[in-house]
Amino acid sequence: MAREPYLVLRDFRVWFEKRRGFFEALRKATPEYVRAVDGVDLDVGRGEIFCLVGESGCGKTTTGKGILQLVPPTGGDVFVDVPKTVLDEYEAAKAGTGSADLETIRRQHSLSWKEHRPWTIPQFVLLGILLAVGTLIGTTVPAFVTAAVFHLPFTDGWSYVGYGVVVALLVAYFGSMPPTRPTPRITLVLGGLAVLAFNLSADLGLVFSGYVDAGGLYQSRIWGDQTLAMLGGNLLAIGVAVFVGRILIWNRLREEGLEGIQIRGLRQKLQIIFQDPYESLNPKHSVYDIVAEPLIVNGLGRNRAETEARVEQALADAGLRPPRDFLFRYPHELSGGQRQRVSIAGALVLDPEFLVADEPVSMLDVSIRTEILELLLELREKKGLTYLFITHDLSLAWVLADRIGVMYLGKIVEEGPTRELIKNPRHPYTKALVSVVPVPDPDRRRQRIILKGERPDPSDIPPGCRFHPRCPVAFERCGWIAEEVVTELKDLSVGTPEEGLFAGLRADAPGAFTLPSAPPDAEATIRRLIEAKREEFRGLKAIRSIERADGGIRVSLHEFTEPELKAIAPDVKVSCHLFA
Amino acid sequence: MPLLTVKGLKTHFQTQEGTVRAVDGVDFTLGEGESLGLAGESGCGKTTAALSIMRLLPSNGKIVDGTIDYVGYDLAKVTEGQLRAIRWKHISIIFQGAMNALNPVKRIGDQIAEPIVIHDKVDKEAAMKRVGELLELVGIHRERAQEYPHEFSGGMRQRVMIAMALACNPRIVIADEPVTALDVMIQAQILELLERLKRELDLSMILISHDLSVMAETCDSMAIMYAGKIVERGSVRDVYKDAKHPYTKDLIGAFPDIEGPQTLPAYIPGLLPSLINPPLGCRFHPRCKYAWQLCVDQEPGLDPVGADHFAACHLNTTTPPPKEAT
Repeated sequence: MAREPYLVLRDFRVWFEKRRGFFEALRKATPEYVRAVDGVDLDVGRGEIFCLVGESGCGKTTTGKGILQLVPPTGGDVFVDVPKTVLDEYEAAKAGTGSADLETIRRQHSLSWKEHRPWTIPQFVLLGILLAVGTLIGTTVPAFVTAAVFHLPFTDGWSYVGYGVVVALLVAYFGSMPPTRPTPRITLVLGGLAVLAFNLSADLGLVFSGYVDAGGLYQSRIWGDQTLAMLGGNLLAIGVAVFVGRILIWNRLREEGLEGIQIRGLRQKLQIIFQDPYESLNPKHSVYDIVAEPLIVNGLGRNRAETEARVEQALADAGLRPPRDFLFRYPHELSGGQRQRVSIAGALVLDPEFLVADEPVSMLDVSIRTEILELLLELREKKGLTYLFITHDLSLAWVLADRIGVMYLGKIVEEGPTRELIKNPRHPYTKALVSVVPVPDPDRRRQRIILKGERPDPSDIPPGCRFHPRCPVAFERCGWIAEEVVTELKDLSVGTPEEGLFAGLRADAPGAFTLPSAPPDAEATIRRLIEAKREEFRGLKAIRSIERADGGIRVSLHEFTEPELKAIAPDVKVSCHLFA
Repeated sequence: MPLLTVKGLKTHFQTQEGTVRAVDGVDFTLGEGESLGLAGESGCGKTTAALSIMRLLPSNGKIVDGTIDYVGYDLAKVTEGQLRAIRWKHISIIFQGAMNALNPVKRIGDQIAEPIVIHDKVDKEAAMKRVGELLELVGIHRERAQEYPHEFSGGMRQRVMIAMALACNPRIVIADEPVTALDVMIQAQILELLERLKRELDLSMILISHDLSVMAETCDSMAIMYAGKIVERGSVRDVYKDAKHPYTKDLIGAFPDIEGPQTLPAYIPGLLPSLINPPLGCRFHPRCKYAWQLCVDQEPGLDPVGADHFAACHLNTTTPPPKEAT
């Protein structure tokens, strides 16, 4: 790539967990995911306009939001403005050849890196036992001491409160030391333990000091007389343990370098323009409020005058001139184009380097779209911005983009320079997509490749190449499983004499299916049908062998793999078995 | 002999701000088996024109002038009872926004059957049989009649809307933005379906859209609307290749062309005019690069500029004064 890379995604994933009922969660150990973005590799050069195109639901918007951490990424890496040497090291480490440690590079440079070491069940059990024993010891000792030295019960309710604080401090301090893992969630456990320890030791103290006998503990006068003090002690114990625990754990995270990159500072450099200016602007805020908000949130703009100056500058940059006329208008007083300019000004006010433009013109009238697009181009010239432009409109990508990536069902299927991708599409999906773009000229009727069906559900992604069920040129290795082939056989036999025969087809393994009781000529029938229909019903191509077994017929299928996104020409990457 | 003739149609809305002249003198004809495209930007009155034909306007909207002649009946004046016999049985509409136009709590089969039961006076069973045929016609399995709208994807819902419009064998189908908000691939599927149905069922169609590139591929003739008026009308070829109105030229030029040059298309500076207080003279003159004094003083009529090709622009009838050097 000619340009120096600015944004680099590797195996970027954003999965959304499917909601499950309580019993469902008990029954199934692993949750199901909607795999909205499922392994995207992307290189955007500095100052480049990269268009991400695809049908709705292919994950293009989620990719944009995931980069900015507006939705939490599930996995993979996001590098923003990282030196080339580091990227090379990263690639080498990933391939297992480099000297540097992969985790270290990711921790230092990847935006989506998270301290992630999964708990195993034995670890969980061990930790539970350790903590329980620790708490027991931790509570009996102070109970003895307090009983012996301070002669419990305290005469004064405040003593219980103070005692709660002391216990909480002890629990928080010891609980957040190694071997406890520094995760923010652990502080909640500490809070719970502090309460447990406080009550247990106070009660034990009462027993050991001989004030009450063990049996009569809960009828004791103390609880009756000093309920409020005990409650206060409990509350303080939780609060102090959580608060102190959190501070200590943050400290540990920082000291051990486990916090990864802080997105907060970086967000000023990475901004987004949303699709619909009629929805994305708060109708109760004036233009000034909307554009000044990022400054206030980020603690920039030290005084009103400076804030105002920066807001005006941003509005002028976004083409709202003179800016003073717009400052105190409300969104309903603006036209669609002006609203989108306000949205752009809101993104510009922090002086970003990178903008995710999520369909910024799709809600605007055609006659004013180009004005907004020209503005985006002008800003690139003036400020050296880099864009990730998300659109479903290939003809728009054609006139705007330097490079295009085509997404299908959470993955990039083809990526390359605009001219190459549109004029010489290689992936069957890209070919179809380019062919159906309407052309504003009645004389140029184009040969359209209309794909059958609709995109599959991203929570149930087809195996192998995820495009194969709709692909007009799919073949053996593309990922056909027995179930699909059985469905195709049943579909093609509807209304033919074979309908009854095929009704008995059973897929009993991913790679094979059987016809349990078949008449002698069934084998020949199937062979004939396959020969006749395999161009139309592509799944039939996957059939490797048909043999008689146990009075029936057993059909086995070819093996398949998922195609990888590979460079097949200079600067062009395609993920399709046709190019393997 | 045209099937539908609209002459001088004016539809106005009463609002708090004043009278919105959404459609302000529109003429067009629709021939037997023809498909007419009605194009224009949002707010130009194309949907209002279509709703006026069906007399389905909201309560504050009223046809104030003009005639809509359908085989001898003036739809602008006929009684509600007569209209009811024509609606759906003769003229039906595919409403905008398939996502929201279906009733979410009724099975789609029942929704499609409703007009059949009412208009064809048949029992439920016969109607459901017809529903099955209709669904297969639009490429949906007939068993899915038992499902609810949320079980269908956007493209499938649009197919249901089309089946519903075809329920009573109409002669004219009005399709209001049938492919807006659908993906390109689904868009192509739906347009192909509409073309096939039009051929097989011998329909006449009015296709309303803001997307000129879609129209270029599907219509025979088209009318371009701007601010409540038709500015140009003619065969698709004439309008695209030999546009006689600056707005038509600019609008076509505003679409990026995937087979054209790799440059940003042009745009039309300025804003859409207010329909409460439209500009004097030619409504496009504030945004027109050729406008001169005459355009402000006098409103151009829709004059013939070729065989069956009309345009409302002074440029076609008068020579503009030489431009002053600036």
